[in-house]
Amino acid sequence: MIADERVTREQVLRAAVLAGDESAWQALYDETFEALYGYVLWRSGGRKDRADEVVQECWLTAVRRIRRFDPQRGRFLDWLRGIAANLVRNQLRRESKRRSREVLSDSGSPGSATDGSPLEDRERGSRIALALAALPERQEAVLRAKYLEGRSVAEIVAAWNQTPKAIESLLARARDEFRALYVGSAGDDDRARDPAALGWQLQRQPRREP
Amino acid sequence: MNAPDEHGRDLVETVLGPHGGGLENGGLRAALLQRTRRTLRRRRRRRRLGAVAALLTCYLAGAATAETWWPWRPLAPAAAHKEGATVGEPTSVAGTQDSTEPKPGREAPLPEGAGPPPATAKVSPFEVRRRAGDRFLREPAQLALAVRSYTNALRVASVEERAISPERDSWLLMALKESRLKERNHGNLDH
Repeated sequence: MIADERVTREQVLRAAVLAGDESAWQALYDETFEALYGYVLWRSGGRKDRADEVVQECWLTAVRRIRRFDPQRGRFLDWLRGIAANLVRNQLRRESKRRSREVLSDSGSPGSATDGSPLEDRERGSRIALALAALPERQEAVLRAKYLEGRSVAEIVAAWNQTPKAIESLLARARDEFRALYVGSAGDDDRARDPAALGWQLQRQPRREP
Repeated sequence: MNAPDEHGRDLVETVLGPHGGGLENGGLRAALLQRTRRTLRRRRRRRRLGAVAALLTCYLAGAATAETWWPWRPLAPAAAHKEGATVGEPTSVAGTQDSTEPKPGREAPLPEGAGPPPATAKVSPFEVRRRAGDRFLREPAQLALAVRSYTNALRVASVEERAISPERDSWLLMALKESRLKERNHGNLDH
């Protein structure tokens, strides 16, 4: 779709939603739900319980704040992703605080599973989410394009209007950074569960405004 | 560092690759759509209520303004009846000044905007009716009411007021005064 057409269409839908038109809202919802869910699941390290929570909160926030969505500045899906990224970050912070309280009170297992998934998967999901949340925005975007959206380097080059070398370099740096963060958070059990160790990575990345 | 190793590119691809089976979310999707639609419905209802409230506020403000600032208000029908006024009589006049005067019978209603001057100014009953007649005369298709107002005015007029005054009287009032004068003269001759 040509950019102008996309902007016009999203402006019309936004105006209709602001007037209370449910069919316009459903059109936006149906178009973006799967993509948003996939993104949130990816950002949550594959943890479905977290992804469900974030997606719910994200849509409820979106319907309340759709007046702030400006189609000129980006796609509706990108706006939703911005909200979701902030929500994931907030969720990780909350979890970090919760773990901190659990460690201090020494009550119960910090990693006890509540959704029936194996403990290792939950820990792994948390580490992926933390590493992604700590990445710079551009590096997270290139990893998303490559691994979530499954685009080739040539496609990213075309979409981003960059040289292949620049994209390859960015991708290599993003991989290295992610690997360092991911592996770095997998020290001994104490370190992996240490709230400070979980929290420091989040401090590196400032909150993004959608 | 980019070479594949135990924690190399394969690890990144494995960790960040698509998560299979994660998109079975039909229940969540439908439930969430319902919740967001409810929010939209509430917003729509609030907008409508806001519009209705705005209209109602405008109406009440208009009514309050009319109640406060309208210079002349007719008495309620019950009050007018109590004062002895006849139906259609300019009630404020009947209530304040006509109680000792002869009842002139059925009078023409006052035209819109032809109310009496403020209560502080003293105006004779003749003058009130004359002004009403003038107003009726200016409006199209109100000639009969103008004649009735003038007739009533002449009925309560003093001797000075019955005299023809070309500066103040309309052509119709002058004609009525003249015809009355002639009638009276003829009556005197007959006697």
